[in-house]
Amino acid sequence: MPTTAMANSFKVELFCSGHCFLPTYTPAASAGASGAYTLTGLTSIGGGTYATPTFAIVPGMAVTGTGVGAGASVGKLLSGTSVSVDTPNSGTVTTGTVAFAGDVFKILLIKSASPTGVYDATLTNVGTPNNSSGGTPSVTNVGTDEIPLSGGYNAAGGSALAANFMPALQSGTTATTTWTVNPSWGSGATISTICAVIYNSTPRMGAPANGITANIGGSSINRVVSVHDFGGTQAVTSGTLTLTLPPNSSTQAILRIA
Amino acid sequence: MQFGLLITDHGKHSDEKLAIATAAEIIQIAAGASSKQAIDARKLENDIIDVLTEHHAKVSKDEVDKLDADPAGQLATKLDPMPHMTDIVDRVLEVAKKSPFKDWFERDDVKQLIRDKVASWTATNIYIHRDWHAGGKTGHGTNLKDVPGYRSDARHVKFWYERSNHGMHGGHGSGLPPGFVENGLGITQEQRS
Repeated sequence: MPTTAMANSFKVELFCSGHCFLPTYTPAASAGASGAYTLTGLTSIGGGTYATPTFAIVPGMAVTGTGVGAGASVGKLLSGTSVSVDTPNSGTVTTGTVAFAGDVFKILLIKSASPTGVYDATLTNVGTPNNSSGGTPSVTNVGTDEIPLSGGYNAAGGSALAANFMPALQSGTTATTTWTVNPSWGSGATISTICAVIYNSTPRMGAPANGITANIGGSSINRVVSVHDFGGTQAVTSGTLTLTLPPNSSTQAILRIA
Repeated sequence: MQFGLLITDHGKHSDEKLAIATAAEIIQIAAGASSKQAIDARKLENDIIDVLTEHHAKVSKDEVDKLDADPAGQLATKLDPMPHMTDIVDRVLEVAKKSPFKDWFERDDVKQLIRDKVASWTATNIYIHRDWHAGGKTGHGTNLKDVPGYRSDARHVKFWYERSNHGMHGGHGSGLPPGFVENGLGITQEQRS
């Protein structure tokens, strides 16, 4: 029986800068010389208040844009209008095209038919989820406990959550975040599931993280954020399953820290 | 930390179901509500459902028509609810102001809540149509037919699934399907300064 919970490992990782929930930020102005490791002339690197930030840049965020090097990430914050990047600019950076993105969070579903893993706060990684070839389920691997592919649920590991929503303080003492669009699988999906697992697919922590060795080559170790029990088996036949994100409030938000 | 669930067998969610789900997030009956308040709230919710059913039907028709006319082009465009948001909040408010709760709906934060929820479900509606189209079916609700000339290995279909399943690891957008909402409402939270 699953238990809705924030993963214990996730709580520790938050103190280790192990997750970036920031939404994509596109400054109106930006610049950078070809071959340089800096982006300059940014309109700003952060806005709002501590309780209700409106946008922000932090080290490790992915950077894209015309003239930005492929696969670039933010290095340091150099000033209120400039940052360094870990990959040289591939050309002259075009103003207004540079985007800074937080981590990619994903959601997968656990099958209802005799899952062997334990789905609660002790789950640390989804590992290599795949109903047919994912390996033995454990606290570091959902493995074969993921639902089989069907219809719009057509990739092992589930789907990306779109889009990150700016974390903020709600009603004084509780910080929350969520995503903006309800995850949904259609195209004639036939699904039978008991719970969902949200995880971070972006490599951000070095080895050892969460009890398994991070892949230094850059592939994801898929660290668990939370487990969400559906209260029983939920099934759809050749149809559409949509998970409705709760209101982003201090008492209901999908992720909140009191 | 609990998800709600919306399930439809043998097809897409109908416009009515999407409207009911949207309205349920706008009208929430408090535990301390009196019996009369609860009844009045339920009546208002039904009136809002009527307005939102019309809204979702319009969104669905627009999206399906565009997908049928130009599948590759439409799957690559920004998934943006904004073009559908011009008057829907006013139409919901118009109904609400005829109810006993009209003072509540004068509040700016309540208006913003309506805007956010309708926009979010509008985006979900658009996403569902694109997801089904990428899977080879077009149409409304459970009345579906095959997409003419559909190929699962078509470049735009593969592109859609790559983005929606894996996000955009290159950076622009966090887990955003193709061209996913990049401006506009608070629901996107992407800021331009």
